[in-house]
Amino acid sequence: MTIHDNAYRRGTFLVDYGREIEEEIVQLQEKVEAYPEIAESYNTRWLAIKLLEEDQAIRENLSDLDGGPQVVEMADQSINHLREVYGDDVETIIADRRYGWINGLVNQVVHKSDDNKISVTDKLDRVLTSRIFGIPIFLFMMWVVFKATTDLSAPLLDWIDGVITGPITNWVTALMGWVGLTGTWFESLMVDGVIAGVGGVLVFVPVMMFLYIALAFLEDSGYMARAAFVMDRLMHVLGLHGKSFLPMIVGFGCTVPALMATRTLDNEKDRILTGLLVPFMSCGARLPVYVLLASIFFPHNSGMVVFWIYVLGIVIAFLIGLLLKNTLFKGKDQSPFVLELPPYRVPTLKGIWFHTWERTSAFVQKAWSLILVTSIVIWLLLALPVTGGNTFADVPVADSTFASMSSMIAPTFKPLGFGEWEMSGSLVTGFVAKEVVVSTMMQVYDIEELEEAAETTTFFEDLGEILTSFVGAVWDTIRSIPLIIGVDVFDGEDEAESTALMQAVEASFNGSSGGHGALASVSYMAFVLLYTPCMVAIAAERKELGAKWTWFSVIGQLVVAWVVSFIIFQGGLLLGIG
Amino acid sequence: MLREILSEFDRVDAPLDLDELSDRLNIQKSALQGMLSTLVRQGKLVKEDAGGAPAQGEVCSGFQCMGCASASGCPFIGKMPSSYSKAKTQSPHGSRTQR
Repeated sequence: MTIHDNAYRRGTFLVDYGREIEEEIVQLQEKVEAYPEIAESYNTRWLAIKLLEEDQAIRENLSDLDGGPQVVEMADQSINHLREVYGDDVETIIADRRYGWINGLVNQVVHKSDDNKISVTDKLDRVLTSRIFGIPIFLFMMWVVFKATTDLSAPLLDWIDGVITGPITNWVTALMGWVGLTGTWFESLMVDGVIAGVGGVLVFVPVMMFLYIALAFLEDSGYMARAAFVMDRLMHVLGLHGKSFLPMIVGFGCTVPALMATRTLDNEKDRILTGLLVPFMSCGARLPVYVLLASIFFPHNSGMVVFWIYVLGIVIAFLIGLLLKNTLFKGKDQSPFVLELPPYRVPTLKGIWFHTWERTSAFVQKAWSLILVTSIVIWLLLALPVTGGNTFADVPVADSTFASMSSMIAPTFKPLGFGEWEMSGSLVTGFVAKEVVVSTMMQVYDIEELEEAAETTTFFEDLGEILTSFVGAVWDTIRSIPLIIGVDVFDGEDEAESTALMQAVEASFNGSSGGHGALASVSYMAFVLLYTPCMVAIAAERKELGAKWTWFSVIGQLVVAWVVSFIIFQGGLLLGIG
Repeated sequence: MLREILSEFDRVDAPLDLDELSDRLNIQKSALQGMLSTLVRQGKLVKEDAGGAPAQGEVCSGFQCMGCASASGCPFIGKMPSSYSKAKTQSPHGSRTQR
């Protein structure tokens, strides 16, 4: 009678590992019992199982005991024998039997009532990750995010714009006067370079904040993980690696960590392919450009326009992915995988604020570092005259070095509807970072000529105005909430006046496109969406993909951006749209 | 049980979540998580946490994300789900040390 039989007789619970393994366990136990030093130190059955599982620590411990090497040698013979019998690792067979026993026991003794069988998470997942409704729900969620972002941020955006172009500019101008620098190049640098460039980006802080609040809500609730799962399935259906969408979801925030996230793909071809697709996902830095143009040309549907631009990025990524998967990256088998989705949770205010603060402060800090430096460089190029008769920092923008350089590439964009040097120059500086597109526009459009003469106010009057207008902006933000579901409580009230920049941009787009400014703006947004995200992303690509694929990516993105913008503008003209 | 899980990985034609796998194999989800952990420990499956925020310097490779405010890690990495996939090579031995 074996020890196993004895155990059953005594009513002891023992996992039955099957006849072959049990025989080897008994033989090993008998061997162990021949060496008292070992037998007294360990439970013999436990030791036999551990030896069959090839536990290295146990083997090392036995090597110091009398009879240890003999026991280990016998265990190795047993392992070889069992491996021949089962055709698999003994460790796996033992674990398999153990879990089988556990599962059988659980099924016998645990009975769940119908009420408890399906959790709230299960019920929600049946809808949100459904093969039929999953993708439409994901698109709806995205639409809500961008509608809420554009509608709710508008009053605060106008407020910051008013503060920067009004009191702050006035204070700096006054300060220059007090120190005797009025009319000097330094005043121009501060007002036309730093305030216009950095301020032009800081205006969009409310937009970024509301976007990050919405994304933090989706993340903390557990929905974003479901979105990745739903899109994974679509990727897989299209023949791309399912896991490709995980980095792409990250790409909605920033392309750089998204490229880093491609490391989760262990196959090099999948990793490179995903790295090539990630930049087509619209990162947060592009949002100010969309919001600016959408609010100029589509003031009542700006959220919808921004939403479709984001969708365009996903669609283009899919199409390019399909093309590459069937050409350069052909023939890779799909490796299946299982996702562990987190449970749904009610987001906490603290959690949402933490995410929002971190991301918004990253945006602000970028404005005060990279964008500040870029703005100064652009100001320098705008201050340097290329024709005689002008002096440094006292030159019409159209006669500046920047205008001259931008004009050289402007014809390339003429078929896309935005062949003016201001627009092409903004795209060139956008290589540094996408926020720079807006800051460059602030600098290159000759806004001063459009501005009305400012009233003279005191410092304290300005402070009072800033505070009262802030309260008004917050109140308008609260009143904007019904706009998300289409209820306009502002109906009948005077609409906010266009800023000087908005008027200048509108006139420029209309002029360059033969009166089809709205169509040209969509073409421009598509170009901003699809061309190289920023120079940090290029550096990250080089690190993750190598120099060859980085060149392929940068040139490819420019070609795709040009072709898609061409199709939008020329196709729109042919169809009589815009 | 473990071999059934590995076989299921070969059979599926699209990503699954744990609930679906649990239903397919008629295994309690909590038990399934333990089984998956065992297979990961044995080197037969690979678990990847796509939501782990990488260190700032690691991401930006010296560029420091051009003035990124987060010193502890990239704030743009969201909470992505963990995934399990079959390992290409299997480790020859386990390395558990419990007694």
